[in-house]
Amino acid sequence: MKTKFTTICSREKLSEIRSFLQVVLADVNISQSTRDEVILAVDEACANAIIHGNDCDEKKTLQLEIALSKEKLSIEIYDVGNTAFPAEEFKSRDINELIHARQKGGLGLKLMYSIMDEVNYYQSDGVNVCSLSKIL
Amino acid sequence: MEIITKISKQTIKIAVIGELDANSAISLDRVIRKAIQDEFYKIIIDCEELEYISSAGLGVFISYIEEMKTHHGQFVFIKMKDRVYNVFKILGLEKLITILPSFEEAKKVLHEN
Repeated sequence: MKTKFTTICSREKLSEIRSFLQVVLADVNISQSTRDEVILAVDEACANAIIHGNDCDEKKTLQLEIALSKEKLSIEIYDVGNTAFPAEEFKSRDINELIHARQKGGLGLKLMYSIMDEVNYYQSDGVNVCSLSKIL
Repeated sequence: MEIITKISKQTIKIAVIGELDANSAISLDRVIRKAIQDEFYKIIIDCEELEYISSAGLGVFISYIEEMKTHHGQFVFIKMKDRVYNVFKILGLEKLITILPSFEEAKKVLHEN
């Protein structure tokens, strides 16, 4: 089963994305805390795409596609921003280093990698894709 | 939304209400920056009505920890719901900051009794 959601690249749309995920994941056989964590991971991926990949350009769109099987929950986030989110740059940041540097960013990817079983960023036909999955 | 209560010359309580994400974190950042500019270096963050936090919200707090330390201050988080605490825990942040059950305990830690 696949479910799709399309919105514009605006920070204000993040709460709508989370509400959509609450509805879609309501019947998935996972605990409430796992559900909350998956929603957080997707929120982080969408925030990265909206803010860093598309500079909050509301003329651009972001699409989520959720696929559910017995074994796996997969979420793909597509955007057509000029720059793909520089995932490698943020991946290995240590939290003490961020505190010392007085930096606000850099925690989102850590959350995504901690929560999900797979996190992949790639480009396909000019579209940036962030692919997240959780083994059920 | 934030509700600000002045406790003493150096201490302030900020109640963060609702969902703290990459959108609402901008407003919280403004509030905390202003508090620090006004020399409130001991900040109690009341999480009783905080339902959600993402990395952008955490990032706001993290970015001010060093500055507050240099002024012998700190954040003290109180009344945190499990679902919010879990986000701190995933990152190991609960070991680096002070999280307490009540306002009274926060005041004790900050020598405000």
